[in-house]
Amino acid sequence: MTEKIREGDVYKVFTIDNTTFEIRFGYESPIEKERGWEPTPIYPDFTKEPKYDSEEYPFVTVYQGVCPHYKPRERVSGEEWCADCEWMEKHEAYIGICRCKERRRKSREVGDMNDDTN
Amino acid sequence: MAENYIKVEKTEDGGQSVRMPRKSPFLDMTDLYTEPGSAEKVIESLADHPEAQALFAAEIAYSRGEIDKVIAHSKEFLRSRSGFYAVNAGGMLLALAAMWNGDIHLWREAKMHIFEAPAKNAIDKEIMGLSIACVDSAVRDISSYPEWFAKGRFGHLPTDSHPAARVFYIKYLLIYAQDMAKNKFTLSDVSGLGLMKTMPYIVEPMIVQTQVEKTVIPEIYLRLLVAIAYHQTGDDKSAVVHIDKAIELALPDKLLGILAEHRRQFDSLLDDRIALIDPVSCKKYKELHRGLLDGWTRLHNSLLSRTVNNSFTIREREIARLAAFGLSNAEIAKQLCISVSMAKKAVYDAMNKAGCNKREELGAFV
Repeated sequence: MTEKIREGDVYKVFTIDNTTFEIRFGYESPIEKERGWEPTPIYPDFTKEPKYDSEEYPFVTVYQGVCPHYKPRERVSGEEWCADCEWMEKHEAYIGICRCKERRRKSREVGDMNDDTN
Repeated sequence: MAENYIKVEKTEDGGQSVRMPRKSPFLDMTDLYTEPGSAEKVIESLADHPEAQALFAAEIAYSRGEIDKVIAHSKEFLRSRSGFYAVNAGGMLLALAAMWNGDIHLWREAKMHIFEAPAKNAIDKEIMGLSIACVDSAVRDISSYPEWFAKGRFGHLPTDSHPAARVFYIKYLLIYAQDMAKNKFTLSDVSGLGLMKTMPYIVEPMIVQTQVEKTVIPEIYLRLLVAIAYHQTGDDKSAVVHIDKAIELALPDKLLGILAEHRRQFDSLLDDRIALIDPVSCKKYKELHRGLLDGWTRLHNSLLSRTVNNSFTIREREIARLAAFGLSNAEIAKQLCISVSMAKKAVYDAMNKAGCNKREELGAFV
């Protein structure tokens, strides 16, 4: 018999590029618990708090809604989530990296006057 | 108290058959059983009519989820072979017991008994066809219902059987409405959740009728069925009113089998209400359901070559059902008072588990 999962239990810990993610079971809102639902892995919301890899590409979740640069793969579900986008590079669990150049964060360039190394 | 009479008639082959006290496939759905908690008294009152007594006892055992007793009584009953209503009822009970056990051989044997019931006239033959359809609908196959019944035209059946006929009619309608919500059927000008949302208007007056007739078990079934329609269209407040009354009617005679039959359709709502009222019965009802679900899934999947998925969590099943009904993620989120992001994640989880490419395909799994 499988052990009952409890709120707060660790689901997975993994590292993608420069970032370690610790995904825990839980609820987004009290009403989920009131409905008698089991706790579920709670992923970061990258639309609210963006995170980037070492090359300044954004992390995304597979079920995140698409952006204006959405490029559907050949066989899609019709859901318009990042899982169906050609730019999405799936990594671990439900997290991937968006390799769309338009979404790459503009970082400091070489020769910038504000670069302290100069 | 029950009117007992034993009338022995000659059959066409010169044998004898015992006439049942009510012309109904289910004696426990007639006015023999009018008060919650009176099941044992009714059984005692039928002492002068051993065949009716055995049938009523088997039916109550079914409503309690005591499936081994149902099989033993039904087989004994069918072995002694008697009149049309007795054999018809015995066959139906045996088929439903086979469903609980996931036993496809017993299922087929039981249906053969129904086919072989000694029908004397055209009405008996219609009842036989209807009984087969009612048994098939237990595994969500409504294709064999006769057209007259599918249109609610069962006035020509013996009046004793009307309470049972109403229950099966609403069961049929609910499956039809759910399949329509999943776009398996269409009616002109009615689509999606239209029929589901209309069901309370049809069932509520029937519930009043069961109260007037004092038919306890039909009232329990109809309240659970209308509560399902309310719950699955987002009105849990109305669902709870009927659930609580159904529990109140079922508990005095421990009719937990009827409650267990409907558990899955309520996600966690029925669990919560029973736990609130009687935690000990709640534990028993959940155990009964686990056994039933296992048996039902095996039988359903092998008979209909489908793959109902029992690995969904409550969250995934509740959301997957709404997705299969055609609701968008935003509509699901609104109905369940959750975030759109959570709705999307659960749809993704369900599609992943079921191996679906599109959300419409989830209908086959919920």
